[in-house]
Amino acid sequence: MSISNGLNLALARKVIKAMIRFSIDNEMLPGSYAVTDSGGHVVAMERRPIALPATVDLAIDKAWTASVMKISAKVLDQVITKGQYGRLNVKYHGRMTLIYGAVPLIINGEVVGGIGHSGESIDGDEKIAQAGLAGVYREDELDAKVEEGLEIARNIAENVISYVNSNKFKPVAITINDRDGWPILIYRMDNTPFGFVEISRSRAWTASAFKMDSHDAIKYVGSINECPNGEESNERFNTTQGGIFIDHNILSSIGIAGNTPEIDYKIAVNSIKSI
Amino acid sequence: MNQFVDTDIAIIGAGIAGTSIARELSKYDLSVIVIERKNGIGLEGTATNHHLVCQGGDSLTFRPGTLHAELNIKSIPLWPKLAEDLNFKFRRIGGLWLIRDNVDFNKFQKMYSRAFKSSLDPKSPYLIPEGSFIPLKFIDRKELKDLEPEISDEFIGALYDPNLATVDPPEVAKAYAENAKANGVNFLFNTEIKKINKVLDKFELISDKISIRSKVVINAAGIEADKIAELVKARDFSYVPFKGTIVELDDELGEKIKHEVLVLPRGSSHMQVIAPTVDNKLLAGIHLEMSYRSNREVKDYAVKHAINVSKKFFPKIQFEKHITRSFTGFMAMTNPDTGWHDFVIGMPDLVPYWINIVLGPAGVSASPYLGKKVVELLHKFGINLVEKKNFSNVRKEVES
Ligand SMILES: Cc1cc2nc3c(=O)[nH]c(=O)nc-3n(C[C@H](O)[C@H](O)[C@H](O)COP(=O)(O)OP(=O)(O)OC[C@H]3O[C@@H](n4cnc5c(N)ncnc54)[C@H](O)[C@@H]3O)c2cc1C
Repeated sequence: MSISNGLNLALARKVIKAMIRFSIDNEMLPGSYAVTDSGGHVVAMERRPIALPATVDLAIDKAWTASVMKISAKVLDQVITKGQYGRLNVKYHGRMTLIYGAVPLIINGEVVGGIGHSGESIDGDEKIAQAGLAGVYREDELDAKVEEGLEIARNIAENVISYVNSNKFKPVAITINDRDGWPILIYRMDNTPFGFVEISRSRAWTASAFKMDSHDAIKYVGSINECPNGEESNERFNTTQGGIFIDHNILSSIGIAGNTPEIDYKIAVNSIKSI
Repeated sequence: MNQFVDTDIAIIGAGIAGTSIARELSKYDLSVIVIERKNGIGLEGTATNHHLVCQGGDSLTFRPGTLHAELNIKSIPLWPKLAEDLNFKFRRIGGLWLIRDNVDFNKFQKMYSRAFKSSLDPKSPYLIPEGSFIPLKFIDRKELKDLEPEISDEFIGALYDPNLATVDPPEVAKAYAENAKANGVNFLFNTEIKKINKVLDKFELISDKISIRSKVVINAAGIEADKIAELVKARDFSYVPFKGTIVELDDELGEKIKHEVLVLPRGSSHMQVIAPTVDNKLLAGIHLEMSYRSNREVKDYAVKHAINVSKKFFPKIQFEKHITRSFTGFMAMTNPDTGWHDFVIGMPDLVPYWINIVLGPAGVSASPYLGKKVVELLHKFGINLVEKKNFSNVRKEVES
């Protein structure tokens, strides 16, 4: 892998692994680890299954902030807003996250994305995000033993990627949720339009929430208007095909998006054949 | 079967960090071993840099409160005596920070005033003793031309730092090492540490031919400090390698340019500096980029940067004809996204008796005080150091 390929899923995963390794080696609190592209859209996110559910969107929003402000939250706070970030924070429905642990991903002197961590103290979050940036510039891949749920989620995602590639389907976004309906993993394959990230998340959420494939939910719920839909609180209803329920002790759903719903469904079903 | 040796303190890396610490520790009753993978002293980062010793203005602008500032400022008064004791060349060249317009002037004024508040203020923890520092001053175009006759008319003056000095860093590292050796420190060359075990209360540092058991380990492996620390889960810091490219120019030009000349970069992160060396050559650069550490190749664009910078300062000189070599070097930059670099000199909470050293920019300049900081740290962690009665502070003979 070379840095000159720019930000892609492989690099984002490498950054996340570097963060997890740092946090485990230093016995830090488990959290969520996110990498976003230059527009703030998720390229990859992983959450350690023992980490707080709410860290998912905090990590993503930190990465988003570093991406779209092209600067770290630490500098925004200390140099630019000088502690007065409340005014900035009301914009974008509070998504602007000036909490440490939001670091720009820099390649060839250019900010090509953002790195976010949530789950530790602000100083811990900052150190872990910095470890992610350092990971970009390591030619070796740092790794660490992670909890079973995350390891299985990674395997499923790898199954998806190789199935999509070998069948020449369009690249997809993948979301894998735990039993509470919170993401353990979100990956966006290279060249997947970013809009599919949220679709994969909502398909997965629907499958988790109703313990059935996303397209079956409408039969039981009746009307789409009945359903919760508040992305801010991770409630996202989507009854198109592509979200499947899995009966597993840690994980509960997979959401795939990027092709027609029928193909996305097929990809999702195939991905769990081996687990 | 590997051969085993036991020691009180093992230092990994014989760059400026490892050798300066070894020399300081050789003042105490301890067994110390320095382990180096190469076959000599200071052959990595210590050999590939700009040779500057920030004796004044530069260190005074470093971020207050950092080890980077503290060590550099505290090293200022130590250098001249060290050069005398250890018999290495120490040349005061002085720095000219060029001024194009009011923007530069105002910036320098700000940097300069902060510098004074944080260092010469008697309440400051980093007081520079009287006599070791000549205050900086602004000079106009005429004075600038007197100091550097061929300088471009583009510049209306400069901030002049008479203190700035240069050394040959590998020579300094050798001097530290030889003095340390004369005081009982052992050196193992061609010995690369590949694995580390924790055996009871000792670290076992393993290379292909020998294993070293030591109670205390000082990780001074330069750009590899992260990987070494990871071997014992002691990496509680992060950095990005910055690749710097420097062009060396011959001593014919060294006769013409006698000061460090620098301008603040605008819209670019590459340094713009040219400076003489102890042997009258010149070093110009510095093209800086975040990079894999294995990527040591000298790129044309980086050489071009150095030449363009030199020509901007001295438009009448044909620099291309005077290039003797170009080289790249790596420095570890912590907080690379903010530029708020700091040294790492610390013991991770989870790995007692393990000390990480990461220098990065201005590491050579900070080396006289570095060992003292490590001694402070050892004391803090309850390691009893007893001063030797027969320590010899002068270098006796120079090894060939
Ligand atoms: C372009 C550039 C310009 C610079 N300009 C200046 C300047 O003008 N002034 C200044 O003060 N500073 C400058 N610096 C910074 C300075 O060069 C460094 O701070 C300093 O050299 C770092 O010294 P070190 O001892 O930490 O590392 P090194 O000199 O790299 O020493 C580390 C040693 O550890 C050894 N090692 C690594 N791994 C192992 C292993 N596994 N087993 C055994 N041994 C191992 C290596 O072989 C090496 O000899 C510059 C740096 C760069 C890159």
